[in-house]
Amino acid sequence: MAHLTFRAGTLEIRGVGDPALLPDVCRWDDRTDCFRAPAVAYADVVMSFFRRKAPYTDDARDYAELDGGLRIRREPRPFQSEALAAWRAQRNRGLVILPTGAGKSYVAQMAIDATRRSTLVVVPTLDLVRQWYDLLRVGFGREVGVVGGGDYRVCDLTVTTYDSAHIHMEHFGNRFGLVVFDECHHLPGDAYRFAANACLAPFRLGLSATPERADGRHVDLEQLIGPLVYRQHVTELKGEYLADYDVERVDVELTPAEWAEYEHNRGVYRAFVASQGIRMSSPSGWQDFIIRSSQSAAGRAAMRAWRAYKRISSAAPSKLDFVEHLLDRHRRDRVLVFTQSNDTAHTVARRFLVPVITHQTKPTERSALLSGLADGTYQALATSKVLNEGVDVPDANVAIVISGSGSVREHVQRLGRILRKSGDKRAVLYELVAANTAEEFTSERRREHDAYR
Amino acid sequence: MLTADLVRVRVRKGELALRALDAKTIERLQPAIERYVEVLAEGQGKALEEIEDALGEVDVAARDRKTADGLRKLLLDRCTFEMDDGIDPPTIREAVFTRAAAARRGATDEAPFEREAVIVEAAEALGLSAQQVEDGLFADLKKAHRLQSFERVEADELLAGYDIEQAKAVLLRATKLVVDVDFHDAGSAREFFRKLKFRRLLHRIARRPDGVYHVEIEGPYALFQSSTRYGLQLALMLPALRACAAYALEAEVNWHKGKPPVTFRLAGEADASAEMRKARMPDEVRTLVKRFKALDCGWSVRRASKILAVPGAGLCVPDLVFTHDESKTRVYLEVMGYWSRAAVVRRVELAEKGLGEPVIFALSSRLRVSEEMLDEGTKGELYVYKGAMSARAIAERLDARIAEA
Repeated sequence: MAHLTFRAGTLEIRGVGDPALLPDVCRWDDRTDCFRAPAVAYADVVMSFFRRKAPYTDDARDYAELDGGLRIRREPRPFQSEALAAWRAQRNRGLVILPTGAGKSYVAQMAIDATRRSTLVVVPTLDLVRQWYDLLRVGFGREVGVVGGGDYRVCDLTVTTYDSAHIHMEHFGNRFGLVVFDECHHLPGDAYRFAANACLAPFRLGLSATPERADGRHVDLEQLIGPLVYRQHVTELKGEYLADYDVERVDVELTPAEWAEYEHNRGVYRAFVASQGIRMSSPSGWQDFIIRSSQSAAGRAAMRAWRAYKRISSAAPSKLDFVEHLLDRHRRDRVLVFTQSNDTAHTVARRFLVPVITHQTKPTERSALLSGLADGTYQALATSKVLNEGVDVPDANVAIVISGSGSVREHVQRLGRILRKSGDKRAVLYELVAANTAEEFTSERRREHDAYR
Repeated sequence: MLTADLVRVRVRKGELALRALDAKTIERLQPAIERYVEVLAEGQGKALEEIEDALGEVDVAARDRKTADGLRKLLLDRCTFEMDDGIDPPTIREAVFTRAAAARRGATDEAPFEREAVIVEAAEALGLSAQQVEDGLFADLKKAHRLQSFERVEADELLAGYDIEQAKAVLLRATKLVVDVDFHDAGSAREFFRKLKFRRLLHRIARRPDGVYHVEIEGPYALFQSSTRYGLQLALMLPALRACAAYALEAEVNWHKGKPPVTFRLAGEADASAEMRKARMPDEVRTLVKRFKALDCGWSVRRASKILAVPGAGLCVPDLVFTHDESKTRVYLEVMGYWSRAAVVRRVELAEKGLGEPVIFALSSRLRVSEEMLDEGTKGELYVYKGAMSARAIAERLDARIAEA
């Protein structure tokens, strides 16, 4: 009789009389004298035995059926019910794409409630771990495990980060029947995809507002999670389910001194790039620059110059002066200040005495700061990237983007942080751009989304 | 540990070779290393950011920059940085930021927000000076942590270990290791395979005619996808490998992203300083050999050099092999002593799956395991002893095997 066990993110299958019973993904492993498959193939392997009425024993699966469902229920929005139905129709596997603030997390809670299996929720940041922990604990009224940020406690409902899932899935990948990948566009990366392949959960849900990846690997999500089962766009939900919003781009003129320093450094950088024949517009341009800049004194000077002119355009004092003005103008609002780097976030925190959240902020302090912003103890919160995704800041209604990358996803996500519907609030996002600098092109690139048109 | 970007390598025709330090480079780098050591030795109490700035100011020729950065990294690995005692930055931040929020909310065009006033007010509430509040605001950031200790090393010693650190860093990007290894003895072989198991690596093993073992090492998932996921585990096998009598390693390395893998080779002989050098024949085995030889019973005994492996079930590494003078029959002995009952169960399973050679497993009666646990009919046999192993008892068991044959 065939016997299944889970080992280090794979299935070991012994005692198979007829290898034709096994799906193609299973391979003979002479290292251990058994068939082996990635754990993600568990459902296919079991279905194959089941269809052909082949007996087997299963020591691989180690997940439980939950003895209770959602304790706190609310009337789902129509699109949330549609999303769940579409996911159920695909044998509980697939992707649900909804704009930030539309309530993706509640769709996941409904999915847990519907399947009643031990569930692992995988999220990109520790802030989201904290948020999901609260959601699940209150929603299901049971103990919730956390793996990541120094914690390692696995329960029937557990929240972890992509980083921790990548490291630990080989240990606990058989403990869950449902796995939810929040912000699932992270998953197809070289390292993180292991988290999906090493987990045997037959039920899989992927959530994102912006699944498309520049490298085109979003197509792999179908194999890792399941097919796209439901999608709604931000413009379709604006007003009724999301807060109305305005986007205001503010071009900030550099002072003559800042401008001179900017021009000088940009000149050094461009001269080096030209002398080396590097085409920065090519896919390998940046990588080429990194390599060449480390090989000579001129290269290192060019790298220093690049950093300097980027610093001037992204955190020039004249920009920060305007931030002061905006903080005063919105002194009765809840403001999120986004920067490109942690250094700039700390500069903002020091200069305006507003709290800051970075990857180094401990969970208890993060929690206190987010609660403080919600209850009005704090007026503003500075951050670089850790609040880009998913973190729920329902009362924030103003976002100030001092600097950022050219990523459309990042910009849409930052807007999403202030869009959660709350009364009749109207949100506003300020994007500060250093006038006549390369930052103007960065800004154009990141605004290529319906939400900014 | 060095990171891959700090390694000096040359890649040519699919082969990756370390660029060892030559005498001239060492001579050029010597003053910089001495200066690095000096900065760290005198840096007690300084912030990491400050230390890094000071290290960055040390003059190094452009062509030696990468090597110097690597050596700097190895030196910084010998340091401990921590936040100063008695400072509580979260409390300082809370006091400052809550007051600042209230002050801004209450500000008007006529009485605007005043940063310095907030700092002074918070400092008074905390019983600190304004400067202490400014300094303590983000004192818990890593770059603000202060140097507590530095495990000093001299330049020669640092340089001597540099190449092996480079090799480890290359293996961080390895997907598979193939090693030809000559073990010292059963202890070192066991230690090697124990480490493989501890690191959750799988292996294929084959013995070459010259007695050297050919071992292919990779992670379970490597069957489906070649990845550097197990690179750290593979790199951490290097010290165990270096402790063997002799080894030749060949690694498949994904050195450049998106390009075909390259091959990295490394060979060496027993490193006197390596950890498994100490794995000599245990005293109880040496005593047994001495007493057995004194019996002059028609069997000869010598140290075993064969590893008995059963794919999918495990392996055993016998300590001794007995050879019958007339029939040349060989019987192996593995001394398990006080290992554990679980280890005995694994050996029983191994014997039942077919070890291929006759083996006596010697274990202490303190493990409270019956000799009957292993069925007759297998090539294995349990020998439970009280106190110390008896040479005569083993000779009787060996003779019994000849009689049965």
